[in-house]
Amino acid sequence: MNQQNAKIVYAALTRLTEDRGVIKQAFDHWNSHHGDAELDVVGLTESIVAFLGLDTGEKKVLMVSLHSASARGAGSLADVPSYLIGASNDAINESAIATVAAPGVNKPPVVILADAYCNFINGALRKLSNADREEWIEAIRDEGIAGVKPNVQLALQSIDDGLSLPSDASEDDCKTVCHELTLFLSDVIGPVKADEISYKAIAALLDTNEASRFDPRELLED
Amino acid sequence: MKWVGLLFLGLFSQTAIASDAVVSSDLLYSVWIAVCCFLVLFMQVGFLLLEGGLVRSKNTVNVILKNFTDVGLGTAGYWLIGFGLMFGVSYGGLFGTTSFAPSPSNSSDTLGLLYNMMFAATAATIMSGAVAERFRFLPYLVGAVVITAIIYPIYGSWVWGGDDANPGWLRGLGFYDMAGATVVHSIGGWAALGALILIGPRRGRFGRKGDVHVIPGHNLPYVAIGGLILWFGWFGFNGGAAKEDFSNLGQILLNTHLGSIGGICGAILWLSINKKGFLITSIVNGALGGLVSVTAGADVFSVGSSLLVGFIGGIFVVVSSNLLANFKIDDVVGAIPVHGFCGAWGTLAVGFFYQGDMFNIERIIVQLIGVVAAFVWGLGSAYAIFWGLRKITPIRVSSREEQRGLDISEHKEIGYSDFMTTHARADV
Repeated sequence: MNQQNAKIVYAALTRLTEDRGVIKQAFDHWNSHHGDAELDVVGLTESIVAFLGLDTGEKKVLMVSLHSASARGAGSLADVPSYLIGASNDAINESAIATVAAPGVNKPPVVILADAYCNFINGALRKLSNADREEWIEAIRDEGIAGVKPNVQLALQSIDDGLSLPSDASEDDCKTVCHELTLFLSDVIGPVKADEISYKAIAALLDTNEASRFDPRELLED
Repeated sequence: MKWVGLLFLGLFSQTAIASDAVVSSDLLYSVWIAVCCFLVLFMQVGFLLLEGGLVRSKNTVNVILKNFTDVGLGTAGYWLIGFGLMFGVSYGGLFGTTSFAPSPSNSSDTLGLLYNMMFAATAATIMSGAVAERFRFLPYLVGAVVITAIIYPIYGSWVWGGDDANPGWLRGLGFYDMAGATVVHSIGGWAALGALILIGPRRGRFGRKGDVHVIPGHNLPYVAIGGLILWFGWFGFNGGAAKEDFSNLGQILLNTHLGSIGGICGAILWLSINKKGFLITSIVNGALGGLVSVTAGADVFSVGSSLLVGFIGGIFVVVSSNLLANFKIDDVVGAIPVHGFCGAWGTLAVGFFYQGDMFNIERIIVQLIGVVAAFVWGLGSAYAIFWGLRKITPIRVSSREEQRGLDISEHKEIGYSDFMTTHARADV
């Protein structure tokens, strides 16, 4: 993890929201996918927008904050709190979930996109209704998803904090997860709103870098 | 309609030459039945738009194509088998045994056959809207053919089949259904119910905690246009049952119209009492419910009775739609309330409001027997057939196909490719 960039990302995220859960999700996402790379404000903005399901206004705030923080320099930025760094290290250390999106591990684009799709839904539900989000998570945990690897099932148990599928999840696993989570969403908020969120998620994913390597629309196809 | 005009001109000029400009009653009746055939066929456009508008845009092609194709295949099945089962020499009042794949020798009989084929198509197409958005295309077509070729004609033979010496068993009891409120509409509605019980609701229609999610149609103007076309076509549907001397044609047409008006008023009243907003789908379905309700007795109701029967039918539509939702039965277009419940109500109403002989208990009981028989036969036979079909092939699309929409998964087409919000791709 690049410590200077971590401060910039953290500063920008705190301008975006005060919700520590959201900040943690987005920070972990940055750390997993961009933590070792040079800071690309536009690319990172798109990635976080797709991941959290942000709207246009929030996207603007995030991009401006990232620009502003990177211009200020790391010396004038607050330190990254331990709950963010600690969580990431925990993820590395826990052998049970060692393959679950450990920071620094390169994931195939299909897995990254599946994570982003599911987290977009999670983010959208968070904005829509917390009760619906809780029901959605409860449904996923209670009913699970048949036909996927055990470590994928395990990853689903921690979807509350943002989904991070294992890097060895197959394309079929990713598709099954995206499809089933959309169906659970449909059960909770009805198929019309579910379709709307699903369309938005796919549209957001189409703008990401990973989309050039894997068409996100295939996530919901056979 | 140009065709109809030419037919009129041709027939009239022929008659003028043949009989000193005197138009025979037979000829006029034949022309009228021909017009009714076109009107009843035109009702398919109404069904197509109504159902097409009430589904989500990702399923438009599918439901419209089902409506389009079941007319062709259903009427073919009816011609091949159904007509004989319905109007052939009756076996014990249960079904006909002759006149399969008929080839009538005179124009009048030919028109009669064609008119009945159009009726059969109506019975089949009722189901398409109810089971929309999840029923596979080919199994649906098989079901539609079975309904038109077997389920509808057998019940039809009970009511309209046989002759005075050897009538269908319901006809023998004195059961009356002028133009098919039960024979066509209820049978179609109950068959749809059988299919619905088997296939289950659309994913997400009912939440995990029992809540009902509204799934609005994608084009409500289509619904209103479709409803009006059906209303227009209904003059042919009911009008074709007029006597050959047309002595009751005016009464039938007026009562048909009043039934629709009553249905609209009933739906509006119920919606206003329940403060649900004046929903276009409920009001259009209320009008259709009113039309179905007067179909059994448009020639025996007074104008006041027609209005009242339609009015109650309009209320039934709204109330029974909610009732079905409580039972977790997902009828996409309200086919069961409109055709099933209102068909049953209208048929019973013949017992209550038969002009000159109102509230005759004996007639009410006979009508009730016919209504119950339609429910048991329509629901039971359709359930059995789709259950059997399901053993051979899946009748419901997979959840992934349902999620993507049947237009893509079944037809590889998108209804509105230029402006539809979807991630579906037509090229896959």
